[in-house]
Amino acid sequence: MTEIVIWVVKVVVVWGALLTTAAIMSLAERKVSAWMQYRYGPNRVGPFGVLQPVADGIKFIMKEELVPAGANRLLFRIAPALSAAPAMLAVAVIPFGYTAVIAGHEITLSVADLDIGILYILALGGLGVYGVILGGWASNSKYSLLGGLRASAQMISYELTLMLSIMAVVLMAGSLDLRQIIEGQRAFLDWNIFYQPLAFVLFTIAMFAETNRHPFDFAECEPELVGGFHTEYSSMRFALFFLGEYCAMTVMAALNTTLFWGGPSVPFWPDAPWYVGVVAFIVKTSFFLFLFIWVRWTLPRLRFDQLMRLGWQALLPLALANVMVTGAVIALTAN
Amino acid sequence: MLHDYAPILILFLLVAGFAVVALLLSDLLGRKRHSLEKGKAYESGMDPVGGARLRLSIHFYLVAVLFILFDVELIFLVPWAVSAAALGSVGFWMIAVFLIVLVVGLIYEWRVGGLEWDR
Amino acid sequence: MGSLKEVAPVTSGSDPSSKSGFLATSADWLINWSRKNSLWPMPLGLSCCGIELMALLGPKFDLARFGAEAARFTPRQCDLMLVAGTLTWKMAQAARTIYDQMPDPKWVIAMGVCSSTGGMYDSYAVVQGVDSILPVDVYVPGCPPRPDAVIDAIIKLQKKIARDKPVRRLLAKSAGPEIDEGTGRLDHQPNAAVLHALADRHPHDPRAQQPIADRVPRPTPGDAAWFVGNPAVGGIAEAPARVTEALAGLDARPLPSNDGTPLFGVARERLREAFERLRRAGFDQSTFVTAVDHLHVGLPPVEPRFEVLWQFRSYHRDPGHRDASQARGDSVRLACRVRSDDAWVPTCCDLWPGANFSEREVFDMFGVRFDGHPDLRRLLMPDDYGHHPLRKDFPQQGIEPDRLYRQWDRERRARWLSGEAERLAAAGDGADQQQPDAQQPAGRRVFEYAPGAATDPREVAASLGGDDPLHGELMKLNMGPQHPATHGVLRLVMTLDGETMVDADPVVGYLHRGKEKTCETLGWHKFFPHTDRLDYVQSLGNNVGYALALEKLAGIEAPPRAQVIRVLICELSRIMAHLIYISAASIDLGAVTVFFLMFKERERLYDIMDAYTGHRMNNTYVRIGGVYADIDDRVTAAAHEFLDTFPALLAEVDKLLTRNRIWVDRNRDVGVLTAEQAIALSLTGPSLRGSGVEHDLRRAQPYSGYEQYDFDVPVGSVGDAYDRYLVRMEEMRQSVRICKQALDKLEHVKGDVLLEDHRFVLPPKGRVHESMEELIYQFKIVTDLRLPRGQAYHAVEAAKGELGFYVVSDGSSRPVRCHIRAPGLMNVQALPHISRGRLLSDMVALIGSMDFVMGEVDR
Repeated sequence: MTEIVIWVVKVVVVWGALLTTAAIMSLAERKVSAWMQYRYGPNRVGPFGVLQPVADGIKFIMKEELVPAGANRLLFRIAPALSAAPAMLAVAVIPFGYTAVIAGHEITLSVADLDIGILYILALGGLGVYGVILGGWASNSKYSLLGGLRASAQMISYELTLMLSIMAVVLMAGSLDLRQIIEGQRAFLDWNIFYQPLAFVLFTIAMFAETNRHPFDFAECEPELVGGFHTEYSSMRFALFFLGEYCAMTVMAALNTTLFWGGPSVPFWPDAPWYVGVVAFIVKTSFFLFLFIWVRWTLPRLRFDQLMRLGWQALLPLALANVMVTGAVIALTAN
Repeated sequence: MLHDYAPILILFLLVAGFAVVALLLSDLLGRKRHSLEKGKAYESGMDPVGGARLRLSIHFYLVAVLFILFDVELIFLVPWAVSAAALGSVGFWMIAVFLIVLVVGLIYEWRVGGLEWDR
Repeated sequence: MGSLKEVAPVTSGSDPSSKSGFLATSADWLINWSRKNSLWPMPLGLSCCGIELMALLGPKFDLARFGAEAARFTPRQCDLMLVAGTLTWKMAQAARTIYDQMPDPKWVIAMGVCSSTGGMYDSYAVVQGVDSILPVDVYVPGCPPRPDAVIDAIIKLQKKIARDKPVRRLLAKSAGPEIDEGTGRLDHQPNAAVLHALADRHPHDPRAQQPIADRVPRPTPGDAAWFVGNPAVGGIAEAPARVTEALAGLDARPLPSNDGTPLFGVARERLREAFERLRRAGFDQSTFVTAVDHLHVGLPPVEPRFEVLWQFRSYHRDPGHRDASQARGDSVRLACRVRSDDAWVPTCCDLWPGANFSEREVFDMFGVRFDGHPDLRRLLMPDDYGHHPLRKDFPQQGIEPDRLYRQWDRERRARWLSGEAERLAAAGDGADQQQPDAQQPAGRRVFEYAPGAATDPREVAASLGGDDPLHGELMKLNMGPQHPATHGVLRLVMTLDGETMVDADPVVGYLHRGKEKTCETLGWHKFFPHTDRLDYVQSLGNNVGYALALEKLAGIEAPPRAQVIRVLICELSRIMAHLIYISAASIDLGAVTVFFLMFKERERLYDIMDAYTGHRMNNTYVRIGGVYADIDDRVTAAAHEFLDTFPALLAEVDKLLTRNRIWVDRNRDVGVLTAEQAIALSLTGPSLRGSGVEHDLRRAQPYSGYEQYDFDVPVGSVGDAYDRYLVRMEEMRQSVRICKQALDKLEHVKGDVLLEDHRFVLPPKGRVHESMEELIYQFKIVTDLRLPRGQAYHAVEAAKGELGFYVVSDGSSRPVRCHIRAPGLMNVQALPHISRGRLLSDMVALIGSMDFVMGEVDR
């Protein structure tokens, strides 16, 4: 019974935190961009405009729902959920801390500890593309179709790099369990970033592409495709795409932290209490979330063929080489 | 074993519930006033010229096929990656041969221009 | 939802103090609060106001504070339609469709007098207020309104939204009346009363609107086939030897022009040969093709009625002709008169591809056909328009200007009433149904410059493997007229194979406001404000061009101090225009922050303009014979400060873009034009110099004393988008140099800024208030300015290229013709030539790099 209560509490807390992060990100995107551009950003609702996501959300709920003529109604309707759900589910295996002892219960700080956590995340990451493709195709609009096609080609291309860069970390840890991966990085100098800098760079680039973020935001790409795959989406369904994108970003940022930056590990304080670990995890994740915004408002966008060339002709061979070298070192020095 | 997945089931129910509510909410609450133009696909304010259901360039399929190829091979990498240390040099050389075949394929694809998006 | 149902009886009841009433009120408050604070705009930036709309998003005004900066270009996600600028009847269908496609609830702000009332454009092409096609919530006056005024409008709209009762409406929605209670407007019927009023204003009988004959009877040319200029000013210009040699034996008759350009009248039968010989003689660019209608309403008909004019320039320097009149020897003008019942001339656009659009424009506006033209469609007006607006017997306000829109609207409503929407919606799940493909006009052939290259889209497609079963079907895609990348209202009909562009057909005219016709109606002086709104990002530069053309016709010259001021404001305008170029190009390629940096800097220029002229843009401060008022120390100090700090910004842009790998990759080798191609396509200005042609009118034909300034003319080497970018960046630096020299000159060049010439030049305003005579002069010049009989062409180096005004006067106060040679139109014309076979994403880079402003393209 207690176990079920703990499960439910963990699920609600983590999922609530994820949604909150997504909401904060939608505001942060506007505020940070404003600060980078000599502006204030939203500041009329609540102190510093913190209620802006709330206002946007209620407005979206109260907005008219549209299904364009000729659209495939079923797919059009469920595509946003297909896009948002995988990211929300993927957060389950991310360990956001070590073990907490609360009221005598020893609680591992992650929703679920799967021994194949990485496979679970990769599987859900692969599903995420469906929402975008189906949404783009079902709209019966050309902009949407092009956006959907671009998204599919882009996401599957960069998924390979993403998997290979993760594989290097798996080689280091010898496990697919994310908890084991963070346990292996408890000490500051054991962080994977020091052993796998190339994998980290590859992962970070692929992370931008997988979440359809600038400079790889070809699926929406406003100046070319107006809204890309979500051109025809209005109201809450559009908001769900939005939410899904921010959730995916949050999960990717957390995964980056977990794989390369020691997760909840605190530098030079190995015996830090569990809540300090959680704070460390949040701080590291926040940095990557900030990086998403920072890059978006700084760089121009690539062209689609340049993106594909980068993915297949630069990142993929590098990632393969990295796995080979890592594997060689581990296999040949094992005995 | 399945015990581990129980929290995920709870999360799944929560997410599914949220998605259903979110999708239905604006259906129920949003105003609905349909018109012919409203239903028309957006194309910069003009009537769409031709439909959006088209036969697509083979390029998109080529990328998809390539992806499946690599994806399947990467799945073979996973068990080795987990037990690389245990399998030692024999395991490494076996996977190396496997990867080299893969890389040769990639180089071939590269050479014939299959990776060039703009031809 | 359940709780909302419960409150139903109470909200319709009368007890507000009950608990349910409180609930409904709270829900109302919450919904209204969210709506008014999350007004995502659909920026329908049509013309000049669109620039102020951009400024509104910029750092100084920051619309983001109200949560209203999240501009979405797809109507599905917008709440507020900001109609910024002049809506033409051609654009009206698109605007209405976009409005219809926005989900409810939605609001409309009409920004600027044009969208509120039609503003200064009382012409055949312009909708006299957007409320005649869609319901408007808030009107913002101003031309353009300052961004603060739009913020005020948004606050007003927020108050309006706060008065709404959304819960009541939600519960009543099952009853489904088509009436929007919040605004009390009918949705599916566009304001019938206004349409009715319009019908009154534009009666079907064209005679009711015919211009009143001038008080001075014009001399009728009769059969003296050529329009004779004023021999007193200029006279017959001496033609260089290669021209006379080329035209020898063709009965070319030298005619007087007032601008020093040799002008020859050629009979239609000989024209074709004259073209070919001139082309062989090295005249490699068509500057403009236009026509003049010599009919005079109220006087007996004149035949031959139409005079078609061509002007060509040579970039081939004749080695034996390097004398002082070098600039003159560069250009030659031909004229040919044709009868109205046999109105055709041979085409020249196989020799000069750049004449393609100009010929289509003459066909559109005058109905003169061009024999042999590959694609003679209307250019500016809709294909089935049915009239030729620049003919003299066509009224300024047009004949049923709204006919096409109303026809479309009637059909639309009929289809709605016949239940087609339900059928379409129901057919949705079939999913695979295809809409019939709209066929291209039969016989249409795309004109391609490169000799030997495939010209037919199908051939291009085939060369790209289009008929190969491995390739996809060709997709037709409308990009524009409402699209984030098309800089206003350009429309590109693209044929795509996957992501590869097989063809791109620019459709212009969505901002055609009938300026040239308006000039004929208003008179010379009152046309000045219209020139501001050509290339509205460099208003004062346009003023100067127009003033110089009129001064050439009048044979006067502005005083020295006025000339220095003109140079200063021209160069500041150039910086303003190039800043818009950088911001637009960067936002197109995704570097959004650069846009804000540019606008932060542009605001400083606005402040200088504001201090000098009293308005941020569209300043109208140049007059015939000088400028309206002298520049004072406050302005020069501000200008000094700006010029000292501006290069630092350029250095920052260098860091953000010039040396940015992504930016370089996106622009390098994209849209390459060789010097020969660029000249043939009639490109001028930075687009031409990017291809390595060192031609700058400030150098080639100095005006306003540009020969006294020390500056470099940057040229590119490859001719790609990156070169054009670099050229513009360098031009800004050179402009800073020129401005500094001009400011130094202002220190010691003193004197009046307006000429003392009561025939043409307005007296200074101060004197008008003091002296009766000056008041009379002022009145006479504003209402009845008469320029000497003659014709003149004057071009200035505007930010986009050669901005020329070809003016024809018959000595009365009514201009016979004012043709505006728009460099932007030529830039648009080049788009298909440089985009074929490239990716869709490149089109965005190309649109940015060709740099045009639709106000000038469409005029």
